[in-house]
Amino acid sequence: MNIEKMSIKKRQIFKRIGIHFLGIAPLFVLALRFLTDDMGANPIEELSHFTGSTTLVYLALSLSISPLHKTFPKLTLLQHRRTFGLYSFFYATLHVFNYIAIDRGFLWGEITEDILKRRYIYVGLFGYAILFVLAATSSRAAIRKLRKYWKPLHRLVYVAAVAGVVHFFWLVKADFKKPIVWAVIFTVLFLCRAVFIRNNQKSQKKD
Amino acid sequence: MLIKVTAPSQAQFSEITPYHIFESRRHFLQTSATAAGAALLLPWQQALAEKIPNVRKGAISLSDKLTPFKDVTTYNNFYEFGTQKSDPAENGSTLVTHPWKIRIDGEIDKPLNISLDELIAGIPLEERIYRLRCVEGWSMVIPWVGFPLSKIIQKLKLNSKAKFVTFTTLEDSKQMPGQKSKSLDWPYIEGLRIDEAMNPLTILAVGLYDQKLLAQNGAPIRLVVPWKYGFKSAKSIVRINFVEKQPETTWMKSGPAEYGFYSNVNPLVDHPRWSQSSERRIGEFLRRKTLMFNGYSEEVASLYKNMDLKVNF
Repeated sequence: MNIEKMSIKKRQIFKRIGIHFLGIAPLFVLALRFLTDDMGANPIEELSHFTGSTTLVYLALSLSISPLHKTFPKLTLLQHRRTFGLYSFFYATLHVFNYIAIDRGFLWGEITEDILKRRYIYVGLFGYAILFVLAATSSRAAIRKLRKYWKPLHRLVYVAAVAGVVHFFWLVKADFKKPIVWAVIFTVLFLCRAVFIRNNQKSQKKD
Repeated sequence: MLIKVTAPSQAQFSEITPYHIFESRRHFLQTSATAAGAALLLPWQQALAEKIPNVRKGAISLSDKLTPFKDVTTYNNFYEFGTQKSDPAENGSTLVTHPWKIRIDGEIDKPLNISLDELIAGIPLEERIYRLRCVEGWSMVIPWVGFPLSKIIQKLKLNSKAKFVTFTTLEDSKQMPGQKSKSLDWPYIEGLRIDEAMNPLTILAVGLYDQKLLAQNGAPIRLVVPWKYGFKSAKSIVRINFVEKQPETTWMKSGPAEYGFYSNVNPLVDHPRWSQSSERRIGEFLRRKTLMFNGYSEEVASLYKNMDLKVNF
């Protein structure tokens, strides 16, 4: 067997392990913070903020893969875009679970009222619903089945990002620094993407 | 041969340290001494927070379990030191609380500039164990040390125009680094109606847990109005001003639809963006029901009879 091929395969495996390690690193951080009593006086609120920001971090990582791939195709990052997206969905799930189970203690009456009345809750939930659908249609089988619909469906990830940032804006009391930073990050990623899509269309026309 | 012997007291020119080097050495020694001192003192600072003697105990008590000192002093909303809950404890060391001057003016006979020591001289300090309910939906139980605000107001000669009183927090971004950011319109201003200010529950606090207030809790003197959301209780007060018209407070300016002048704790009136029907007591797992006027209806409900609390939120 070809030795060079082996080493490429090995490298791929290492890269995959590395990316999964990056994906679960926040869980280690959380565990460490709980064990060292570093979650502050209101650990449930802290858990909510932590899982919420981590969702945005992985969403941004996932969205930065396409432009990175276009710029540095040798890194073969494209195949890991989905992994980051799924981690974003994973932390969003923890975030929603923390709200329903721990913060509200499954008081469905209160939760329903929140969803109907509180704009930051329903816009957040809307973003989560999108991530849910995207995660559910992320398998190879789903890609094959949805064919030409898959791409436009998965571009909804930008809508999810907007929902996430608006959710953040609407729950802040007076200091908008953090949501503004997120808005800038996603705007830049969105523009990168728009430029690449336009260039693609141009080059296709030339063909 | 003549050997010139110089007296030891007569320094030769070469021995004289140039003045700027002398100064810089002095400076080095001073700063290193300060740094060494600070390094020695810092770990003690929390433990050595100054004890207040002769606090009359049990003046107003509660059966609720006290929130631990650590939580009361590390989980704070005091945007003057930053907007994260941990910021005030981390950034509070730059606040100089002694000497502390307070200006008392407005609709009174004789405006005065008075030091905190003079202001509180002769006023007995008592412990008041109060619930504190934050507008964000969390609460604490804190053993304050202070005295009724009415004791100060009674000594002043208010004129007939004094209908409201405002409290202003120090504005100095060198001492309060959070003020470099425009998260709120500085200085922080809060206010009460005179009858609210005169209510026996309304106190000026100078300590908690029998110790002088730390910066993060509003040192050296702050207001505590236990039936209102926490932000009504202005911290690090430098001015008490009596006015005729209902003042526009800092949070009213920041969000007029969300923060009203009264801001009484009321489980029936939601914050526009979240419910106020329940709260998480710091240290507890399950949320508890929020009480009308934070549980102080008996003492304060009469202040608001015939008022629509949904309109006057």
